[in-house]
Amino acid sequence: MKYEAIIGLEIHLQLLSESKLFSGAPTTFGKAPNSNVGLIDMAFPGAMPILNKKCVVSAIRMVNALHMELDRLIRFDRKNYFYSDLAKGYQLTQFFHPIGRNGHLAINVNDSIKIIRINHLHIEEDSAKQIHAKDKTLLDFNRAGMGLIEIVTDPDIRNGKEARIFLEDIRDIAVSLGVSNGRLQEGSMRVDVNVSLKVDGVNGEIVELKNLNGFKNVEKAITSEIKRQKEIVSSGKSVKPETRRYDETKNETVFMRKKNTKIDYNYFADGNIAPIRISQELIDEALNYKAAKKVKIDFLLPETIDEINNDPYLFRLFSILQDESLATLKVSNFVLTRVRNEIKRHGSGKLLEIEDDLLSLLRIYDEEEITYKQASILYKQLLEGKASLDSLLEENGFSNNLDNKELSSIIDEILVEYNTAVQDYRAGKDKALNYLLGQIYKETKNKVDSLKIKDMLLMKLEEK
Amino acid sequence: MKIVSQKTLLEAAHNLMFDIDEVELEVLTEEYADLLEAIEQMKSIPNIDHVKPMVFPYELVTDYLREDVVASCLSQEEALKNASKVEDGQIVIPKVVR
Amino acid sequence: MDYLSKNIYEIHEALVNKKVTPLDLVKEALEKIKKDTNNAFEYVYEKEALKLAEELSKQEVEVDNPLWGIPFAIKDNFSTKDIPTTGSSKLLEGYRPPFDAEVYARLLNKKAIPIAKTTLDELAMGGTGSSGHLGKTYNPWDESKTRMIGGSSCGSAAACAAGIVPFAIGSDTGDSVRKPASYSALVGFKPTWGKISRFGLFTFAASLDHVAYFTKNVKDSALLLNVLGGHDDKDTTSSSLPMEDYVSEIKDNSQPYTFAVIKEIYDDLKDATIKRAFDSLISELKQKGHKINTVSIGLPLVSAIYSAYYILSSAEATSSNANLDGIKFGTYKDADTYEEMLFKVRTEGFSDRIRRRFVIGSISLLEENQEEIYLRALRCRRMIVETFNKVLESNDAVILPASPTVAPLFGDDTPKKSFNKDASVSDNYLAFANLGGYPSITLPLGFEDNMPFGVNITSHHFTESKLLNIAQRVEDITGLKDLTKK
Repeated sequence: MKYEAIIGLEIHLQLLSESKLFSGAPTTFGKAPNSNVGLIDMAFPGAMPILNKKCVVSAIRMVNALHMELDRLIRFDRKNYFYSDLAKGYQLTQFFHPIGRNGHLAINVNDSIKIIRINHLHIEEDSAKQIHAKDKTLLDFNRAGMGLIEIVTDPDIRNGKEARIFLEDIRDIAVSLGVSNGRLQEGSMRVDVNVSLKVDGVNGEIVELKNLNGFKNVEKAITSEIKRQKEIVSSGKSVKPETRRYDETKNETVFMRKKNTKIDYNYFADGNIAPIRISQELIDEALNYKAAKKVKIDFLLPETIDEINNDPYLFRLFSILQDESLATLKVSNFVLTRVRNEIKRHGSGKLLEIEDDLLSLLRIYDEEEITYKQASILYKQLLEGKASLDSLLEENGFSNNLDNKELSSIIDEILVEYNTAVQDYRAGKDKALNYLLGQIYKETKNKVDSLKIKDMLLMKLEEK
Repeated sequence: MKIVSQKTLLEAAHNLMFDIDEVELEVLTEEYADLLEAIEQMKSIPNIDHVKPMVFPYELVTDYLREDVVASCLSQEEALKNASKVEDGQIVIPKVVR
Repeated sequence: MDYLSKNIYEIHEALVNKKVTPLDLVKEALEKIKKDTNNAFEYVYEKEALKLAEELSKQEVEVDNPLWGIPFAIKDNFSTKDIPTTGSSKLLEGYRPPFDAEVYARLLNKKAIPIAKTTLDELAMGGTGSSGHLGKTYNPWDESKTRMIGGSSCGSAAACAAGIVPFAIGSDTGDSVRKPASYSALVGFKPTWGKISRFGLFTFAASLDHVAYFTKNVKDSALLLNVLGGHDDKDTTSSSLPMEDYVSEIKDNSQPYTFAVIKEIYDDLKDATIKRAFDSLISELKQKGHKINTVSIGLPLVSAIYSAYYILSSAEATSSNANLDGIKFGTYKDADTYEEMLFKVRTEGFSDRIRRRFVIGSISLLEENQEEIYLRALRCRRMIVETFNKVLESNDAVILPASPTVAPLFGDDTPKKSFNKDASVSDNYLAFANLGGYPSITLPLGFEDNMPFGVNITSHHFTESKLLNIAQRVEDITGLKDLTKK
């Protein structure tokens, strides 16, 4: 028998914007539940949707980057179904008239170019967040109505690796165009994979893979699902249409639910949103994306700022740092030395992969939980792909740094023990200071920043 | 034209998340039969199947898009004032089974 | 003294001349509401209105603002901040919205005084004024309480006809203001779709829904358009075309107009009194130099107005009311699972006629039926609208009796078909102005055994100024205005 895996992807990207797709409610993360809600997000009767320009601009950029035909008339349809996370009882989406059609993306697989066709791209709204507790469900509408774009490929992908490369490219494009954060782990990028097996030219049933939380996992999930389907078919049985998830520890896909008979969503055109004509000015504005949001940090030189704004990855990282109030002098310096180095040498691929850990690293560095030296070690190890930040912290023993009180008592002890050196210092011998520092470094075993030790030591020497 | 069975009508009601009793179902079946006849009659309008569907009462196009600025957000209190049950700022509903 | 039976301008004059204060007016309205037996009210602004009136009574009357201090009523499917808003549905009992509808906000801004939220057919679906959670709303013109006032804007019509308010806001998706106006001797006006913002009006069928209202005469209707009309950023379907001063645009001239009478609808008329009254209006119009064309557009098309309307409105309504789940607002029911809870809320919260209508709407949208039913109705809509566009390009307005009878008797309470294939065309044609979004106005035309009936005039998109001028000519001929059942 001749097997061929047929794979198509459905990718959701959460759009970067200040306000939601159809309401003026903010999109900021981490706010108290149900405090980022506009009238339409909770479907109060009589509320009306007003489309966000930024979301359209983002969609136009993606349509352009993926070589798609742009529909110059924006229209929305209602996808009708009942679910607890869907406030209106319908989702506003573009079923009949997606903003983009018939595109493609060329990907580089093993140094040869492969074209993946993109069927369509449309704008739609996100649903509310639910927490399923044991005997109840909790609803938070903060996410409801956030802007999404969905990208649907033709079934041109043949294996896990191609899928991963395609997704990484989509992510890089979305990120560099300021369209989305593209973070798979955080849900700002979501992927559903349709996998079927063509056996001797005959198409098989489609299995949908869901809840995939990492590019590598997408690849592994597809690889193991193809293997599973081959085994089923070669044993003479047939693959059932179903939805499966990926179990990382077992490296296999796991049954979630049967594919229901096709749900009828009663799609029809929404009458509350007047069709919107996309003007040439808007297209120009969208495609001139350098005019979009810029990084602004007061203490950096103008030429450094220019460099940041012109480098897609530095721009992305500093935008996030800025949003999360992490663009401090310390962190900026770290990024502009260490991270900039990596970009120069190897590009941003690896950095995007470790980004979540990198951000956590920068945060604990900023909060002085680790020293510059420790941060540098961890950063190097992260790039080497050794392990996650949490386990690296554990392994290196960096997770139990000394606090000020502990440092203070160590210095006090040293000052007593090496009283002679103290006297020498007071008598004007500068070398004595270095000697004392050396003793303290030994005692603190790199668990405190050297600058901090020096500051405290000098303070104490003044006091006494 | 497909003749829709009572089973289909009842199923449609259930998909809309409500029930209808037998008496209502009888009336509904008659209503639906009437509607199907009305649709048959529509076919006698010359050219009907050769024109484009009309969604809005007249050709309607705008170029208005909302600028991406935060405005008109409800306070948590306003958002939850009418909710059935609230715990820690979240709306509580019975367990979702599906 | 009875002031509230007068029209807006008369009451305004009394306020300016200090014959009456806003407080007197509110007290009169509340007094009348107490005595009223027509079951027209969902909520009465007793304290709120008195408070607002007391404040206003201390201020100077705004002489350039005829709405200053005038009590009004508004249909209970308009969102009113912190004031109960039910859509006359059991499912929304207890709901207090967090925002004001645009039209309501504009009236408050003009210092008009809201006095009551009024009853409707549940969620504005229906034409009998009897399907809301509070039951039947009666017609003030019928003391025997056996006749309907029509719907769905039944409470607003009854409040205005009973002289409790000089104007009342309603909504019109099929004929929900223009038909009750015919049954209660009022002016019922629905401007072009998009002329008035729908922000805050419960969506029933977005592409057919209109804000509309009842007044005592044509001039008052023009006044309200000045205030309520015009673009609103909160409703992207609202028009950006410039506004006019519709009151001063009503000119006392003898410009001749051309009217079209649709033959198939006229021929369907059976009531001799109504026919006679209409014929005599037509001959007076001719006498004054206006031109009348009888236009035939084919019976299949005329019959299709109602069925297309019914299919499209039901389909949209099914979806527009899917937000009603008792979770975020409305009547919640406890249950073990979400699905059971939703089932209980929606089975017990909606009346049977609404549920049937939702089923019809949903069936017509199913993928396997969409071409046959829903899309055919949309194609039919285009045929109807393009036909009427042509009629209105060669005529200034379509003129016809607004209803073929006076207010009908209530039937018994057994469930009845809401859609009837044999429905008379003259009783169900008004929805053509919703399918096409035309400005359309109903005026009193005459009485039969002390029950009123009206005439309807409809013109082309955004020709409100012309339509109001024509309506003024007709009002001058009939002499029927400022009518109140005392």
